[in-house]
Amino acid sequence: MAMRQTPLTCSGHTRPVVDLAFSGITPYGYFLISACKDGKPMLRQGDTGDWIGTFLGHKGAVWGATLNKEATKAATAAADFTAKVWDAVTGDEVLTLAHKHIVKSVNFTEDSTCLLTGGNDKVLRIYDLGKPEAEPLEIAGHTSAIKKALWCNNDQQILSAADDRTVRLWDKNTKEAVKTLAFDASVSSMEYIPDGEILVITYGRTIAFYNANSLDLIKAVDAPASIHSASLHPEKDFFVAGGDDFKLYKYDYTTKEEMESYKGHFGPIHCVRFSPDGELYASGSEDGTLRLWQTAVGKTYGLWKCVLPENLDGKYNTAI
Amino acid sequence: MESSKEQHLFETETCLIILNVAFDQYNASLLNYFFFFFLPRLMTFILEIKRSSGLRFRRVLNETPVSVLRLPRGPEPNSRGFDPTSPRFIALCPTTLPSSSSSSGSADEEEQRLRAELRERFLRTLLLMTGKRVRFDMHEHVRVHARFGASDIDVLNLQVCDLETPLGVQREALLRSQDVIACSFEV
Repeated sequence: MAMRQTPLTCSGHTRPVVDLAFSGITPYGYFLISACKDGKPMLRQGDTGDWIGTFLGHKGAVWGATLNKEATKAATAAADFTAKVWDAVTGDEVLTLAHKHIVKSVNFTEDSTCLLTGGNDKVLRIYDLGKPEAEPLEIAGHTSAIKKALWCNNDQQILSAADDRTVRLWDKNTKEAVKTLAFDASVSSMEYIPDGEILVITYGRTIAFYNANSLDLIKAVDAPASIHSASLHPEKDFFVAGGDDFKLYKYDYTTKEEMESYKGHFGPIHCVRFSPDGELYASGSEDGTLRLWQTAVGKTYGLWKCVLPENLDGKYNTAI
Repeated sequence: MESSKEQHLFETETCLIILNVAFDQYNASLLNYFFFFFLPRLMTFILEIKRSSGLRFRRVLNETPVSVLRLPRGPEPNSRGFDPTSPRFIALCPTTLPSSSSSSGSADEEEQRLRAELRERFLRTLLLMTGKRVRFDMHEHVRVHARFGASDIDVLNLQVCDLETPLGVQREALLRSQDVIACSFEV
């Protein structure tokens, strides 16, 4: 019996959702934070999409949001020239880090002690969260606005993607660019998979996979439309991508074949991420909604319920 | 498709000609207009809709949408969330007890020790209760007997077997701890 995917729509945002991030798996499940142009990032329960709280305080569009592994801290990057660190349990603002321009990306280290920020001022900054008054470590080199900055290789190196169509690998200690990748089109998104050291980069209509240490190309796939974001399944079986044509595409990672495409959003998809257990993926769109999609359609998980074929036929009506 | 369009056009033209003639010849009334022009067009339109929707319906029938228990809960309009009564908040939030000086420090330690002892006693009682026939005193003067099975990690629910209720004996049941006032059993 063929099952049709039922996406779960998480409403609440009033403007486009531009970034989303999952936490690691905690004893209380896993969590999802969404960054929105309405300036109010929201924290949600990862497996059900239930709203938990809204981080109030930013005075401009929030361009980037992230959670630490234990989902105890959250960080957001906004157009009001600040990056803020929040307590993800109480929702209180813990720290405000002033910048000289719009901040686009934030990322915690694995132990949540340092925060990496990058934005339109073209400089990467590393803040020590134990000493917030101290000056941050600055890494300059990009020639235009930084779109995404990530820690990689055990938090010893930094990957950054900018509007100058390059992706650079920096060493944290020497503050020098170890490697640079140049592209024909602006890089729209970047995802780092620590287990396997894979980097997922999207530009134009291409979704490319690179080795995060050597920045060697592993494989590249072309999609039917311009792609804004892609995410690789934790088990590296498949990846999902979404872009301008409002559809989500699911590809087999090994064969690079398109497996499925899903319609549902009413606007271009800005961000797509797999959950840490790989059971679902979330997509954020210009239409202001987040949608949760099942990886294994029909499986009982979260709010989705598996219905046995007998019950559908109506032959067996007796209750157990 | 094209031929049917042409046919429609032909029909329309014919109708219009008839109508023109009719206006001249008879007292053109709305009724005439309705029967000779409007109704045939409406019938064709309805038939076309039925045909196309029928196809769509058949395709949809082949795939069953995955059923969903409910929709994700949305934000509350008047609050920023972060429910202080949620288990995660209670477990992870720093305590709101005032920082103690050295003199009252020992009093706090003593209280902590007593609390730990009482908690241990409670947990051991729960262990001892498993498998035994227990009497549960609940709200609204409800008193039931059942065989205690287990409680969940936060002691929010109690799993019991053979629960004797006025409606009969329930083979398996879950009692909400907040409804239970007291439970007693023979050691």
